[in-house]
Amino acid sequence: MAQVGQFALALAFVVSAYSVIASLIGIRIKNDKIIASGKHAAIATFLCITMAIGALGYLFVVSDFSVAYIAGHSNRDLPLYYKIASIWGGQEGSLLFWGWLLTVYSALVVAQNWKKHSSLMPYVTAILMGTSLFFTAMHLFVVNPFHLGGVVLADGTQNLWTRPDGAGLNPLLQDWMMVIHPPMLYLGFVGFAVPFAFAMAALLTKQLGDTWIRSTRRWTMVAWFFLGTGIMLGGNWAYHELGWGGFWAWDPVENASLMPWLIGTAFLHSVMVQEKKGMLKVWNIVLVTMAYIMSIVGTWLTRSGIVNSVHAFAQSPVGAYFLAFIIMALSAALYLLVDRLPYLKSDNEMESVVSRESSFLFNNLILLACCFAVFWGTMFPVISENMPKWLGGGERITVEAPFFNKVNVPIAIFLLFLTGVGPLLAWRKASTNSLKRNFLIPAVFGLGMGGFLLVWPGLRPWPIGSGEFYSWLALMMATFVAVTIFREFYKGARARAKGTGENFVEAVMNLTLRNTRRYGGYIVHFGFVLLFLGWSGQAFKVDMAGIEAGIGDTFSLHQYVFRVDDLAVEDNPNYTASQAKVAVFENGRQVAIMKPEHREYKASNQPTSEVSLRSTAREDLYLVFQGGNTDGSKAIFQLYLNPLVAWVWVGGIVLGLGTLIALLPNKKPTPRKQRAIQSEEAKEVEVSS
Amino acid sequence: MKFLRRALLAILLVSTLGLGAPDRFKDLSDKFICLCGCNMGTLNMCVMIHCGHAVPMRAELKELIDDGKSDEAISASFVDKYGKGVLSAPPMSGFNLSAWLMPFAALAFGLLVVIYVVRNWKAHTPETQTPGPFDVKYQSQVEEELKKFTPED
Repeated sequence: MAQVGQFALALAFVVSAYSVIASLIGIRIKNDKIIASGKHAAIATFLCITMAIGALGYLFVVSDFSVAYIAGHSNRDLPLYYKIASIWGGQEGSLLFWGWLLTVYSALVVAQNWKKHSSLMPYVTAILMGTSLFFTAMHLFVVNPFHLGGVVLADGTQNLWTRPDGAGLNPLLQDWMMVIHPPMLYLGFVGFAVPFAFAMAALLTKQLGDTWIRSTRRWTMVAWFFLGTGIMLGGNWAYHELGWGGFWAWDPVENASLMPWLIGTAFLHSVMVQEKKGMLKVWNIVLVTMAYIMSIVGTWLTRSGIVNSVHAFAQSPVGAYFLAFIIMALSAALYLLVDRLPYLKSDNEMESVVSRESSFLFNNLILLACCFAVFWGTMFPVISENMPKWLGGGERITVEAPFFNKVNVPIAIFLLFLTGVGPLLAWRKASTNSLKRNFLIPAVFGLGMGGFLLVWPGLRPWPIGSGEFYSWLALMMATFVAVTIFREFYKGARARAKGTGENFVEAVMNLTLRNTRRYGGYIVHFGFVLLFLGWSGQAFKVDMAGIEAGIGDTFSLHQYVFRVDDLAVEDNPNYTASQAKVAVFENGRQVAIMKPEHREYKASNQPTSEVSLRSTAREDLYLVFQGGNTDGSKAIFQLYLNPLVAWVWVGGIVLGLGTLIALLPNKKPTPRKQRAIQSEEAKEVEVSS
Repeated sequence: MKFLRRALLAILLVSTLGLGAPDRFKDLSDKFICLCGCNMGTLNMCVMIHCGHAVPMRAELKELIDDGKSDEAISASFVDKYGKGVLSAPPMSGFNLSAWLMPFAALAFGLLVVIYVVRNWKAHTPETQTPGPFDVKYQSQVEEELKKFTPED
């Protein structure tokens, strides 16, 4: 089967190269048949890479340890679903998976858009297949997952062998989240290739109107949705698997996923300005290019070994190839952009600084500043190490979470403020009256929350540290933004309910479905508010380390008392687990049983801690079984009390739901209903003005 | 109501927890990284129970705190022993200061660019007529109408 995979890769290489060449030659000599053959070759590439990844999956399922990649990332007793997830458990397989997803996107784009955008599609095909060619070359020549295991002897011949069992999948990856987190993340990364291909095709064909924007907005949103979901799932995985009580450590791999997401967010906002006003055309091309480039940069960062990361793949030769590809793609995009500048003039001018357009410009600025801060912090260890000594460099400086938090948290809180402001500003120019009308109530609520936190419970944001201050500020801003969103829904639904006779809930539903993009966007913003609510709790996290306790022993934290009821050992073919059963009491009443585990994986001989969580809207209890004490008589625990963490996950779900709603087509109202609603909305306006 | 009560309780809890005394050991643990190569981040974050680096480093930190050393003296002691790489964030001096300044410098530069772009755009916009009483009366109404009836924004 390894040979089948190898053959499929070789075939994919030839076919994807043909697709690029045929598309370009077909365009040049204006031959539709050759262009169509390029399209068919793109679909054939998808089939070939599907065959290759199918072969790799089969090799994992049958535990064929003659293949080095299988032997290094699986073992016989690994459950089937982890065997399949092992496909993306290492460098070679994850790159193949990435390449496969690219061909899936390519085939879908070609099938969906060929007739609709016939002049753009040959270029789109060539660009997507050009990227695919690069990845296929990497699979085939640099990080081939089908290489057989063995050693090269002194005479140059290879001595092949089959191991009786594999080294096993990294225990940290043996988690259900790992089955879905990487595919989501990769779908996001790879998805940005589609808008990039359309943008470049638009530049090449000089068709720089709204066509490429309209065709790619949804694709960008799809990529953004998957990337965001992948990031949230990764955070959840880190939270329940790594055992340090947090969900975001600003690790280079996390940063690599955040950067294209931030740029994608900027694009999804600025694209509206181009659609509405025909402005920011150059900027949108720049953003789409950056989102694509940053998704490749992230791959380069984590696979080249250039930065240290808890996730990073072993150092491999892929780094140089990725860097060359990045430079080539960026240079080509920049050249095209500069060459086509005369075709990218704005249709309109900015009329006022206080307008929706300018708020999007500021929103873009903040998002990009955030992205730059993340990039700069991630790269600074490399920069400082390579800087000459006379400039103060020459030593590798560490940049961890404390730096990123200090720099990014204030920027993010300002972004939250803009989240509330932007949607309430009118296009072109907002009048003083409308500013007062739209902002007075939310501002009063926001400031009220700030005052409430200061006075009643006595939160003092200034004496201890910046964390408390930022939490206070974030909660105040979150209230402001939440009120602006609720008011938008309330005003719209009230008008609709009056006009149609629908009850309020029906009106909210239909209002949302009638303008999915606008109200889906508000829901996304509300998800963002909830994320901030969850993050604000992190300043108040408390923990107890090194708790030694045997059966019957108790320990306490705040209002909770913990009693160890049992310590047991479970053995299965994959691992041996030491398990604790801990009863939790709150004010004398038992509220939970927690069962943390400490596992020793047999194949890899690596330990992991399986965290036990008790999650409520108010706080999480997070118990880690770290192992036994030196004489084995007691267990050692670490305990965290994490306020508000659940809201991070709720926020992530709301954010995802909002995106899915925004992706839905608008529901068309009946003409009668439309007239009734318009009449009521006009009355609403009269009253409010 | 249940949701509101829970949210209120959550905010109350956050506020109450904020009243606690600062944990100097925890704060200082965040300033140094574990050098075991686990790449988990700061001393606080290394979860290996018998870590050959984190455990003695934490003990050393505790000893320095108990000796009454200042934060600066503790940092200096760790840097002397382990090198600048032990700090979890770049020191605010020399070239490393650029790590802190660059993001904000980039933000300030971006802000200048945005202001320039907006002003430039506005400068090219032909002067509109002074709004008459009719315009003033209906300006806000038109804005609301535009916002509500725009099919997609």
